Amino acid sequence: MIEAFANAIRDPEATLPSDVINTGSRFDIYRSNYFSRLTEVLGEVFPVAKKLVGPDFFNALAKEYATRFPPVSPLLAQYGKGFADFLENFKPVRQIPYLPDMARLEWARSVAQSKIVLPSDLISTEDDILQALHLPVKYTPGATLLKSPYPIGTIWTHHQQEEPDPVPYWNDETIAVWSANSELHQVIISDQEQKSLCALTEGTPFMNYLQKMDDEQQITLMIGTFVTYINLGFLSVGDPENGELAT
Amino acid sequence: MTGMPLDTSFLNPSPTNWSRLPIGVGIGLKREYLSALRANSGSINFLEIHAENFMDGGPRLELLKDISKIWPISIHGVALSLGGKDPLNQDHLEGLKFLIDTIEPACFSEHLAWSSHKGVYFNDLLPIPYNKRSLYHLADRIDRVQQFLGRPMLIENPASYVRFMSDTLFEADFMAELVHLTSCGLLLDVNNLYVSAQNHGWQTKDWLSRIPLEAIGEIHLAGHEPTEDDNGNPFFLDTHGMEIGDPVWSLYDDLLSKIGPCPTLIERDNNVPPLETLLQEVAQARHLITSVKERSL
Repeated sequence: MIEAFANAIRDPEATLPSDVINTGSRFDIYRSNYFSRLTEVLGEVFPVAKKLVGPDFFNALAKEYATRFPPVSPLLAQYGKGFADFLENFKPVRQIPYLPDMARLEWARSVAQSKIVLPSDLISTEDDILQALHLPVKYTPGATLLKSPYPIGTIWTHHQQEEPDPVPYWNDETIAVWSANSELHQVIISDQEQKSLCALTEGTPFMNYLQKMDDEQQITLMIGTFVTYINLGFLSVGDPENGELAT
Repeated sequence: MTGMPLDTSFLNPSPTNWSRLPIGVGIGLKREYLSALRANSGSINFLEIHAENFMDGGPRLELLKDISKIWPISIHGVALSLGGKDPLNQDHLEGLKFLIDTIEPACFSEHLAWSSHKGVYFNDLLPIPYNKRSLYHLADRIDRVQQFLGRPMLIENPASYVRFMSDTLFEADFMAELVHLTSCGLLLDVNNLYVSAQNHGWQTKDWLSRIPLEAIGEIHLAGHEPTEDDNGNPFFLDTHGMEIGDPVWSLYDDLLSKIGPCPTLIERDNNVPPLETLLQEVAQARHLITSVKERSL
């Protein structure tokens, strides 16, 4: 019975399971509940993506995603992890090429929000900095660095208003998203900061990278960025589990 | 008078095997209500949460730990898929046990339903046929869950829209047998009973006369909405998005008069109203609980 019931829920064209007593369209309640709840979950995680395509189109997208990639975990906060990749390969949205990156940004926000990161000690003295440069570095739990060929952070910000302003420029952006001190942070980072943060290899001391460089001015700038982002809570050094209470 | 002291223990029943919830009225945890509730913690007697919203750990679990110092917590699971054919999800069970051991809730409950099949999670409480085969299947799984968690659980009666040709048992008899076989308790959802009875032509009085009333450890109250199937026949949807209807209040009052005061939850998951509106329903339920106490004197 369950096999036929399950198939009939996921396939709107399927006939009523033979064991079900035919009572008009009552079975359709189970079908519509399945899709409407998943659409609602996705709409909560991806509100700007929804705004960009409009609610009707988004609901159709969500239904298509739910059909192709049904949830496999009861923890629905994790549903939507593959939504950006789905959009990347879904022809009908190719006319909005920045939509997949918007979904990546919103997923990064959702992941960061689900983490608790304990505040770590601030780096201030020269000794602190030297010590930190020689320790393995990593993003704090739930932190994401997202590089996009589109002004994705600016588009996101503009869409926090009911009537979004047009985006004044159209260039690439790199966005850092993380959680620190119970607050979600999202920052469009500068080219200089991007150079430093993109040069990081997780689990490797930053000094390993700096040793390959000759330009002292550049090294100073990169160390400045490194320290800033440790103190902001985006990066952590030392114990690989540093700061993580739960995952 | 016989000179013997009157037995008044039923007025303030001691904790049952299944529930240590206080006799009173609770609501579901909603973040938007929290600051007002903290300012007046006596406006409710307990809070209920959906287990799956807190099994990821993180900030939500920290919040729940904090809240559990103020109110007793009822943990309500919605995804064990007790009636399903997939093996019980061990990761899910372990997550549930961690949550229960961390929060030490006054009560844990789950559903007479299935929600997963072949690894797909349906995010719904889907109906099972009521027959001997499904009874023993479900009893075995409830027994295994209770043993794994090291505690008894309450099982909630479902709201359903369809029934099965393979039904050979009445829902109430099925639930009574489950209690007998597994020593689980019952979470009696009065709205679910009303909706299913209307949808399938059952008599609620008959239904209630066939379950072990002493096994009820918690009651749920919620709203429903009328609709029609494509033949124009009316039926009811369990939406949790409306105020509690008069027939449900009336059925609740009848039930209280049979079992005495019982911990009661006002459920509202959709179309969530301002807290004041929900607290009016809390006050109404409290009034009925007090009345039944007074009638018993």
